[in-house]
Amino acid sequence: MARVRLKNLTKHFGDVVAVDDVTLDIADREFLTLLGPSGCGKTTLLNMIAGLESPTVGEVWFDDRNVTAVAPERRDIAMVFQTYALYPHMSVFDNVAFGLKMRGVPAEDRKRLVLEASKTMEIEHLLDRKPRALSGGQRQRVALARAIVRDPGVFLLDEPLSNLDAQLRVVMRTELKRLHGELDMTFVYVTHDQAESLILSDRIVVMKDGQIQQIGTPETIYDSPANTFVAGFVGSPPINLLKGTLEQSAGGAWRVVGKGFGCDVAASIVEQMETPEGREVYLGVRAEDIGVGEVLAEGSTSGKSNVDLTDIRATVVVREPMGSDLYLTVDVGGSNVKVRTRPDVRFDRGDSVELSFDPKKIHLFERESGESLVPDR
Amino acid sequence: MWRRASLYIYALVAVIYLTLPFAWVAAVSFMPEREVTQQHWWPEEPTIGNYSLYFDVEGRTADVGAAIARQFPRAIVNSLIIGTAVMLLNLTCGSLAAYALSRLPFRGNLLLLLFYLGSRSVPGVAIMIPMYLLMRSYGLLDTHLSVILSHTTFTLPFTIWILKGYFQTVPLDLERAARVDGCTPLGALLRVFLPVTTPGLVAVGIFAFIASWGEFLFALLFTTTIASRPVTVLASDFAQELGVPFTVIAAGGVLVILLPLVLSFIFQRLIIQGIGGSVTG
Amino acid sequence: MTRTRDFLPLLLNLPAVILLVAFIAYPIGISFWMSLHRYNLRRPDQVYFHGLENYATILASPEFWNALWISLYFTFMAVLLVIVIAMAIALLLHESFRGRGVVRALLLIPWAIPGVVNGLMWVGLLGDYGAFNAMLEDTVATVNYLFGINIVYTGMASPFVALNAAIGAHVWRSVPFACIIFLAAIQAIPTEQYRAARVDGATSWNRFRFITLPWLYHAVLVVAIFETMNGFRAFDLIYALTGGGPGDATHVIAWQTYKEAFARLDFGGANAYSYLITLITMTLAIIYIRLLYRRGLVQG
Ligand SMILES: Nc1ncnc2c1ncn2[C@@H]1O[C@H](COP(=O)(O)OP(=O)(O)O)[C@@H](O)[C@H]1O
Ligand SMILES: [Mg+2]
Repeated sequence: MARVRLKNLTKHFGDVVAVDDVTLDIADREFLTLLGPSGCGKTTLLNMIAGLESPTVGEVWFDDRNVTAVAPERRDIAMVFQTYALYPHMSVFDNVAFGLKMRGVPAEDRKRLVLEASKTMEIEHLLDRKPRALSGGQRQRVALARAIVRDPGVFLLDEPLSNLDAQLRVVMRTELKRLHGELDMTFVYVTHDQAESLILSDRIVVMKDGQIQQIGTPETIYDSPANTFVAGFVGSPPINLLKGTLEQSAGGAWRVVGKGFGCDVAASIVEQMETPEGREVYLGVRAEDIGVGEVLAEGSTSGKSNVDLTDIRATVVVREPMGSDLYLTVDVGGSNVKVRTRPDVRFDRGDSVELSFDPKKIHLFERESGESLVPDR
Repeated sequence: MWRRASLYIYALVAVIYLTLPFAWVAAVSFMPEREVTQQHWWPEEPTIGNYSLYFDVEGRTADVGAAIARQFPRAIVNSLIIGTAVMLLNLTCGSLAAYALSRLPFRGNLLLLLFYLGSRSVPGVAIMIPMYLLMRSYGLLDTHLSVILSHTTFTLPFTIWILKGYFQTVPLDLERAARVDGCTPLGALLRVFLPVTTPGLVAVGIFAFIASWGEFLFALLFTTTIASRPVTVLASDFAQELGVPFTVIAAGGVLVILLPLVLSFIFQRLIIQGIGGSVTG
Repeated sequence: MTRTRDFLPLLLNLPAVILLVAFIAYPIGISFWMSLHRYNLRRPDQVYFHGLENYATILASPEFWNALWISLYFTFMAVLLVIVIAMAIALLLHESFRGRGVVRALLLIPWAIPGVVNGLMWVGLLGDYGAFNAMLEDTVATVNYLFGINIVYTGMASPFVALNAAIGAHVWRSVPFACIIFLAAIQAIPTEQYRAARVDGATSWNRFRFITLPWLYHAVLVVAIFETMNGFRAFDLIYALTGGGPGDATHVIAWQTYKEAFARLDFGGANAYSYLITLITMTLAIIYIRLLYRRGLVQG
């Protein structure tokens, strides 16, 4: 059990700034995910929490203890590495027992604890084997057992699922969630897979180039991305971003207008801006927030369920049935837009359709900085 | 089918090439002298008489060369002492240097690497005279130490090179895992890094031992009496005695070869994998 | 800050560096210094500086050019033969067949045999009653019969036979090491490359030519470096097998240096010889390393 606080953590490797001024407060027993593309400094940050790298600037606190200068073996942590890092010269049993042995746990207790952890991870039948005789999934379970056996306060996981095949990844994901429920540990979990982070986390920290982009619950991150980077990185398919300009119509209502589309904007958003008129923005809209319907006649559209919808003309470019869903890629004024809809929708390549964006779900970002213009929902 | 057959013929030729010279000498070492002159390939009346000269410690025989042959056991002990010391020095100095070069980024590592490569390319004859004078001025001539030091210096660069390559194949995460599991840096080195790299260490250790066992030039220069003479020098002394039958020389040769041969058989898998992979890797 | 970080690795390198400086770098310096002196052990009272005169003497002496020429021939042939034979055996060991383990185990035999003992062995093999001597005699007789010519076979008394026998013996002992390197390199070639080539319709020769060989380029250069160095320093074998003879037929440069030093006791001259050998091997090594480096960039 431990609360982990990072204060202004910074790490330089020569000229490379791997982690840049990260301040973070991780609650006891929280499941916190560091999410970001490869090379953004996630591993370096995790290593600094573990004590495997010493920060260039900044401090690491566990509860009320400043552990910045404390060696990893004296921190109350366990870690699962991306490559598992099982000791090849030891049996599975010895791998799991090693940490206990190093901490002077007597042999009988060791045996009991190892068996307990093995039961949790369902690897009892593998205890005599050497790591090289295990499959990828089995290695993963051993690595997890090795970490949980010591009942550490902080549990660090560096992309533990990235070397597994897709099906196994889903199984282990559920397993991890179960583990977190059963154990009294603070989980710090590194991944570049946004779906994993949404499913597992209490909170997500999105990183880019060593800097924190946004901290929030999965819902916040998904529904109110702080900038175009977060919006584009989280969610599959990636959010549609369309260039547009803010304009006020004669009736006083605000719209975003771009090539081939126009879309109403809630007054509450615009009210907060100093000079909304003519502001260059990105309109962000997720595939599932777009309605699609047949072009019936000028000015009217079928499939409308909501009077507030705004109508946009588009042409279907690609049709991708996915079983439970259907993805359409449509052309809006020269830009491709992904739309998610029901699989029974019949539109195919070349059909003209009308789109409608849900004004309550659209996102606006300032064009230049990429920062969100929408207050948190 | 045709392909299989030609493969086996190919393999047979290779085996003959690799073994025939030694096999013939080994066969001769069991022949009475007369069979050699009859150009036999296989001893028809095998004898171990050729070997008895070397184990005649009490010195009963007065055959030609007996005086030198009697020194063989002692020379083998000398070679063992020298080879073992060279192996240990290589392993300690070599693994320390290779560990730093493969694990710890530091300024000047390229320079050091070039220095090691450069030392490796200096031929023995190029430094034999200053080495001789150096050893003489320190009073080390005819001691094991002089031979040990010279053998260590010409095997060490190769050892470092191989070990550096080998160490780089061990993932850094292993030591990190050990640290997280509660090891000190030294503990991680001893309990995880060392056991994991043992195959590589054994391979270069055996390599250094066999190289030292077979070295001749410096051994010849620095040793004068049986107090320090290794077997290679003794074997050549022996062969230069006039009138020693070739069967007896062959027996001596087999005795000299025996240990490196056995070692290379036992450790062939480690040597082939450890050395081969690291040289080009 | 950086200074403390650099301290440990430098400390770890210290033992190796001390040994190599004391017993290689320092002697090489002394060797150069001595090469600039007149220094004959027969006249230890007459040691004096005389600049590059030893070098001038050597470069003007036919012995040097003879030794250099023999060493170049020796090394060139040795490198070539080692590469070809080691490659052939490595390719064999890469195939799977019953008994491969045996061949692999036997591979290290020549390498395990000390150079001197190797020399002594070949003295026997090529001596009057030696197995290979008989074979060579028969071969020459057959050739004479077939072509109606009359080559007289004189065994190791013939300069041609002696030199090439020395090369053969040297190559035999060098093959295993090169083979180990080739084998590792061959095993590192991804099998998909061969599958792809097969699909593209390449014959087995073309697969060797266009996949195996390019992948082995690096390994071949490494072997070439090692064997060039070994060729130029060949000493123990010559000492035991031919003693430099017959005449000066096998006076390789290492042997010539040894003679200058310990037969003529001319330490100044011998050191100048040493220096020339070092220069030659280093020059060749640098050429090879540049080739390696350039190739490395291309493959990058
Ligand atoms: N030991 C190191 N030396 C130099 N640069 C490093 C080192 N470790 C990481 N880096 C650099 O720091 C950046 C962040 O790396 P890392 O933390 O491994 O990213 P991630 O885990 O998010 O993929 C990268 O640009 C990487 O090249
Ligand atoms: Mg990483």
